[in-house]
Amino acid sequence: MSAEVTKVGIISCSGEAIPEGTISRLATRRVLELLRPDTTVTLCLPLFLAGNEAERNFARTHPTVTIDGCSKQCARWGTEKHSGPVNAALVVSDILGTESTGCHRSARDAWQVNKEAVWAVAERIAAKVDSVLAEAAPGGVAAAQASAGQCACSSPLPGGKITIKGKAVTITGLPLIFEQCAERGVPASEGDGAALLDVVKIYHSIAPEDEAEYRSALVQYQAFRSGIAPAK
Amino acid sequence: MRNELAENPALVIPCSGIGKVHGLISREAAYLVTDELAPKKTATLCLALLVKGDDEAVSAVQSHACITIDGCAKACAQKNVEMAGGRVAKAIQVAEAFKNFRGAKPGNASFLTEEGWPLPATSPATWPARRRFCMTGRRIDERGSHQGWHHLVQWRSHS
Repeated sequence: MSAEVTKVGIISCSGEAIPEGTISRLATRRVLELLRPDTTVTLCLPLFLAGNEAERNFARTHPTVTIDGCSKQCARWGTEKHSGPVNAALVVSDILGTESTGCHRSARDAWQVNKEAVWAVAERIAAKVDSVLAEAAPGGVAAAQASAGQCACSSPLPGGKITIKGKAVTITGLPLIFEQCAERGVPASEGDGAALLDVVKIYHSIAPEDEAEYRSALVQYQAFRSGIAPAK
Repeated sequence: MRNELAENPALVIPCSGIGKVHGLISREAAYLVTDELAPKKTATLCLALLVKGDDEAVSAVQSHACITIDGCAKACAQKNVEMAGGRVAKAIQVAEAFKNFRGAKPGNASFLTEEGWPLPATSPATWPARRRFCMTGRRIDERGSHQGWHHLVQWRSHS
């Protein structure tokens, strides 16, 4: 393994035919986008299996974690066949057990049970990425994590502080909420602050009489979208 | 899945693309057909299982008409079905669906926006899988709602 390794390749099952396949892909995306954006990349499994040399080379020179939907473990099988042993292999059906009952293949039917399943699997992947990185480059992991979301491995979600009625209020996961809103194109302008407030209200209880003040306080989001770190 | 493969005459096989919205659209188009529009006539299977060489998957693509839906020009779904000896009745590129939605922001690899949800439904508009099915119905409303868009397409079996 190269000493210059900084990214872990996550190879997800394609699993189009089963709900666990959808969960594995969405969990992989969650890790890439929110939990470990600075230390992970992904590869399309069929492209990898079908002989794309560039992607196969990546898997040969970087640590890889496979995430499969079922016990057939196509992702693990393909990676090991073409690139050698994987550093870690996860199986969604093993992680979730009966909790995957009621999950759906289509995002149209993505109910709460799907969302909870995706979070559970994503956190397991993130934990596995951390341990793989720790083995690959001890001491480099902490620095890599500092700029990434840290809600896996039982670590507390990073909070963000805003001032409401003269008092500092901590909103759990505010930086992640900002990231998610920016990703979804939620507008930052004051006039559209209602859209941002609606998202924050999902995670944080806000009394109706305080909504206007919260909306004003959430201007940090505008700074975030402009590339300026929000005040802590 | 096994019963579906045995009983349904056509397989709809989407791409597994995980990096762009196109892969997600291809899968949602497949689910739209297999779950809602033609559930008794179509089924899907895992592309990776086919690539792996699973006997049942290989046998299925060789004995069924296959409709492949690919997110990008690399056409992994089409190529892998053909490599497995399957018969591709129609190969579809998701990019075709974008022609009616120029400038739309459909979402990303993780989710579809309100502008993105009609895209899977427009993919079948280009599907001459009409050997077995004929699509009737009007053109999708370009801003069809998430809840209502799938009612705008109707399929009629010709078999």
